[in-house]
Amino acid sequence: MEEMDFVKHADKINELLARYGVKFGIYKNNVFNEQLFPFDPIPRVIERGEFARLERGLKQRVLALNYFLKDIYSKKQIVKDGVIPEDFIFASSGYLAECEGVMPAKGIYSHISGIDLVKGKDGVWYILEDNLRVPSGASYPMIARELCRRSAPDLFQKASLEDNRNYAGQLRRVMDHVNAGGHTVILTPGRYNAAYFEHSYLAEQTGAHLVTGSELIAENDRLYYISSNGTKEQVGAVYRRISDEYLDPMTFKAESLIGIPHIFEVFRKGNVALMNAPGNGVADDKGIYYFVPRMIRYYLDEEPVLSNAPTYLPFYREDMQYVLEHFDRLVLKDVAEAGGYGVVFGDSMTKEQKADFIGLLKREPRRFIAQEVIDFQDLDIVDQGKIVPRKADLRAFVLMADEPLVWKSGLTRFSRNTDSFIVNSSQGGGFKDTWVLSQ
Amino acid sequence: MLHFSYRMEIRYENPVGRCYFTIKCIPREDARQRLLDLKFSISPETTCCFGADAFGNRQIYGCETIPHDRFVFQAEGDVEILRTDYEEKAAWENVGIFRVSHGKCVPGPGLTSWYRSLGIAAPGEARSSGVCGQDRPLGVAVLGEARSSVVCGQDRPLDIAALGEARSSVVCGQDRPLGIAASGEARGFEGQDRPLGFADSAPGEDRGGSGGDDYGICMALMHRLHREFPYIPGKTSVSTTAEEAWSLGGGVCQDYAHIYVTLLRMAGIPARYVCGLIIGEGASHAWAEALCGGRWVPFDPTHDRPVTEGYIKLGHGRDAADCAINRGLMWNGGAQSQIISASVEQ
Repeated sequence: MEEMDFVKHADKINELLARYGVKFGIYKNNVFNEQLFPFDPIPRVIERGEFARLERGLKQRVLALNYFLKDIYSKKQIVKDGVIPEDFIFASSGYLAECEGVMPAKGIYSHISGIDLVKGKDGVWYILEDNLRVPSGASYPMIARELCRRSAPDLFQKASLEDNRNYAGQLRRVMDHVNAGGHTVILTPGRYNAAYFEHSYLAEQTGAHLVTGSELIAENDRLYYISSNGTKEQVGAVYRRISDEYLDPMTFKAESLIGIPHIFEVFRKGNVALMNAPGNGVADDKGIYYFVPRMIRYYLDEEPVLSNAPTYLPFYREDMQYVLEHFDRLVLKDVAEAGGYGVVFGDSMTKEQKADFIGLLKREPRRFIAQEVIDFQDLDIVDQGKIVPRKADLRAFVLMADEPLVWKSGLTRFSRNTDSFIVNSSQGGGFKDTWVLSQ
Repeated sequence: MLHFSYRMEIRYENPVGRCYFTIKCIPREDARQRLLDLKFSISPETTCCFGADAFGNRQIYGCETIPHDRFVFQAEGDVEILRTDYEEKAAWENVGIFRVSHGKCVPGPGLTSWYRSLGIAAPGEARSSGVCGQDRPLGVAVLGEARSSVVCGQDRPLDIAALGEARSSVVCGQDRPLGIAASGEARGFEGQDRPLGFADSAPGEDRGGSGGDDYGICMALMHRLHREFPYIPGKTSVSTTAEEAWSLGGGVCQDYAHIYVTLLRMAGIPARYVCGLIIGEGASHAWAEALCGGRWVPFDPTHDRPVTEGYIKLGHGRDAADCAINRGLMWNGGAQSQIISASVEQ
């Protein structure tokens, strides 16, 4: 395999990544630690035909999720028609009543979607979760590819693979498509955010200004950027990398110091685009995940191309029954948690823990989902000079301008330990480039 | 026609250099009331933006940039009450959000056990009309006497200490009953003797039982709340939740409305918190609206009566925070005090 040629460049590339500041910040016990996000030189390779199928399924899914968001914050037809119970909408922490009746520019809610998938040992791809709020990670394969090209340029001339360096250009198109008139900025919480490298890298690559909340001001239903020499210039689109609840202290959390007072009113009046739109959390909730295949049928009148991992909702009596009967082989997830937290495997619990958990499950059935543990394919990684298998997933990025566009690459993350199924970067794993073959 | 005025003055110990505000003190317009005339002023003078929030509450917002130690806003105008029954047909898509517990209206152990002791069937369960029937005679007995001790009006001051002073001048409108109030009360005693066509069940009404049953439950819960929760100013603050107010054993109109909304939602009846003004002089008032037979029907648990002509609705939401009359964000300023005055007259 020719991609193995990279192995000998691995150290050099990781050294370059460190120099470029490709890091991932993690909060543990309230202490902020920045650690390198280890790059593994062996790329994940996806055949052309296989990716074409993923592409169709991802476009379909993101389209349906967008229709869902538009529907939920207006007519709620899908609830009225009994496809999704009301319990999974209004009680969801991602549902924001403040967004009722506010229509984002061109009806686009999820401009940048990060959809996590795994490939089972049976060769079938399963959707693990949708991330429609502030999905991060595109910058890592972008810069890794760039550095690999530099260290082994001849190899890329031989390999027939899709160029992934167009992400920034496509992202810029998405920004321009919804821009309400004025500058485009990337709003970062600042230097101590886990994904700060990505914010600065994407700003550099797209030509957008990288700003913090204190450099923006909402005035007379317009948003302005205060430049370093004190001039005020109008902003038409904000790719915001801060979460909904911190966005506007006059609308959401009053104690937010990183937000912009009244930015939400500017958005409501249609004078600035917020990417992604506030309120998207109601669609990437782990409880709502269960209903996405139904959404696809409901809004698009199509059969889903990609499957969910088999999922059970204890909310439904028969699903609860199933979960109790097959507890040991299921993985249970708290719908309110993210980043690999709140995930427990039935067979890893002691008898006592299990009894406690079942009690909790019965008291708060809406809070959990249960899934079959998918035995997903291992990918080879290089660990201290040896090739070893690790669990890995794929975060695919879907950009939405006039129509959805799937980036022909993606972030492949792998677990740190042999026996771990959890690949989130916040849990200390590493990443790979994702190659999509062009022929 | 009612003439209203509302004024809020905030004094700061130290001058404030920059202050963002969102003010919701303009009456809503709906099937029940129409705004005929409005004057709004703010000091120091500044540019204001106008709009409506997600609940349709009117809002005025902006930023004070001149250093100031006194911030004042005032709204004054005329409102025509179009319908004395004061009800509004609910749009299906706007109901669900008022069915789930939220914010300050989340029941804790205290309210849960009290609610259970009331013997109201849980949502979805069949409810016999006898359930609420048993409360009615008691409600009747309590009505008149309890109300005489009611001092009304609570706003959302930033400084609780200042509130006492503001409230000392507050005498609320309940001593000036209009002719209509009397008939409203009489109707209340009967529970489900509704002059309105409750036959037309709205699509949002997906629970068992007719709107008439729900009306009876609303009345019964209101009577019980009024009987068991005394009006005591100064015990609670603007940030007190329904559960906290209940365990403190007394409160003001905001607490009545919060607890009432919480109870109604526990009974499976969508309910919203209402902020408004009431005939007389004092501060703002709070009550609640419940979905009965596909319509939003207003109840005033502080006075233990259905809402009548002397009420002007400013805003509604899931709890008080959604329709707060003033939300501000400022730097420095130090201690602050607040003077509120409101009046409604015919």
